[in-house]
Amino acid sequence: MIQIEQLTKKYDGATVVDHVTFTAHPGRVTGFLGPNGAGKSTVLRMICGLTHPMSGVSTVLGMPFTALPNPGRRVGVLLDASGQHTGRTGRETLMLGALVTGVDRRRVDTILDLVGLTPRDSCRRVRAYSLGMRQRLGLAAALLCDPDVLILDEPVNGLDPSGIHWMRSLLRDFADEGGTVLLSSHLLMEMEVLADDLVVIDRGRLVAQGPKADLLAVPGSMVRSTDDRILLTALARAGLDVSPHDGGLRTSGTPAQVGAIALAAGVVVTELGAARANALEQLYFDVTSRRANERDAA
Amino acid sequence: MSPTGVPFARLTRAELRKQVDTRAGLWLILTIVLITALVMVPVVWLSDPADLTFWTLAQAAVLPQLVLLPVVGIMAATSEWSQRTGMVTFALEPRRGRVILAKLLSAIGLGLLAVVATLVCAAIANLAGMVLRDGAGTWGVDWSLLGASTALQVVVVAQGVAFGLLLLNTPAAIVAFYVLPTAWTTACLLVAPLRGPARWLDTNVAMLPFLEGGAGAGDLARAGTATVVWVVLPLLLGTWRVLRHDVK
Repeated sequence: MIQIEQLTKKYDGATVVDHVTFTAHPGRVTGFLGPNGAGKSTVLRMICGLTHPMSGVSTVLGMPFTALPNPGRRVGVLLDASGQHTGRTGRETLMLGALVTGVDRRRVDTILDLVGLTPRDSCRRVRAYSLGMRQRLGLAAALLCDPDVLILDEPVNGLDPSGIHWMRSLLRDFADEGGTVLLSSHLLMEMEVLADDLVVIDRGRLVAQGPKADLLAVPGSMVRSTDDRILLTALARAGLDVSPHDGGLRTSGTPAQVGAIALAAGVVVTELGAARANALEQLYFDVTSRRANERDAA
Repeated sequence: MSPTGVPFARLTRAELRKQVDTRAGLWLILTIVLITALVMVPVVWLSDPADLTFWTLAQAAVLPQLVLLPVVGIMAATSEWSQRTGMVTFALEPRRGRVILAKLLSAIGLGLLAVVATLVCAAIANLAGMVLRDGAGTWGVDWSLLGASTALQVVVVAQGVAFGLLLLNTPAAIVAFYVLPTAWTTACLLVAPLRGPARWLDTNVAMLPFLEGGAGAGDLARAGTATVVWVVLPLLLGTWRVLRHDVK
């Protein structure tokens, strides 16, 4: 469990993170979204005690991260895959992690295998790694001690489609076994598939949060019938919002209400169901201030 | 799961390992030992055979080491920032003060290892002197002088760590480390009124008596003052900076 409350950070007078509050629950993948420069990385660094907040608090597993004894054992952190010593081998990078946390060294081989780095890869220096390999190494370091919580900043950056697929199932399994996952990503499609809960920030402020199903849900229903004209009149008379949509009618009523009205009106319904969920992309552009064609000013 | 924190010994071992587990780190140490060994070649070659003893050879290595070992301290402190590994290091041990102390101790330990390696080189050179040039080859050691020069090596490594922490940038720390004290020494030589305080505030001047032997209580006070100004103060300021600094 990760809880943050009213977290605020200013750099040189500019508010980078502005009273952000949210919770990442165990057993769920929490997707953290926002445009470049929205403050995502700053929030994640504040949770991990690497950046000092101006005000507000954050706790991981019920206490401030910095108060966790041997935090590496409970919380796996990957904030920047390029934050690895380029002159060190992948294996040595993990051995150092094992040494500090005190985890069994044999875990290093297990975890290298799990993230798909071959023994030959692991003996090469990080300098020779692609971004995808660095991500795998960073994830290996985060998973080394079999933690309860994962905090990952853009972990799918640089991964190829099979790598993304692999990461998705790995994080899904981790959450299904009761782990807490908080990850940021730019890849909306990926988040739409993977995340259970969503937190969206823009210019340092929280603009949307909640279960993905709720956030993307569209109230109302879609209906098709043999005579939409009569049905439209009947639905409107019943006080529902109704409009033609995609060869049928879109209404503000539930499928049960619409079905009952159609029955009373004697109209044959050919198709009736809850309105299709919005795409995450729709939500993202609705709540964040930047348009698709707008260049990042920061 | 793991209610106890990271034991300090483990943290120090990890920091020590970080200093030698890259080619750059390993070669830095090897180069320092190699250069000090090379310094002994002309000593063996050119000295009067009667002066060719273990102690003369060991003494020849002190000055190059005083110049080179601080780089070990600087690198120990700055590499987390130049390589951006600080995010991992301080996420594994958020009590940054302990990490800094582990870095300081491991750098000093590595410096002492280099001193020992040099003594081994001096022993080999002494044997070579006996065989090649019929040198005196005696093994006598001036223990108090050895103690003083070793203490001095510890101080300069600590000074390297201090400058590294203060600047968090390898080239800047190296330049500052070599230029600032020398600039101060030069200023003191050129400006007469500075010469009095210089005896207290200039490490190069204050530490000389310890390399020459026969240092008294006054010398100790002066060297102590210089150490506070050039080592302890930067170390405290550097630590404060790292504790406050946002790690990115």
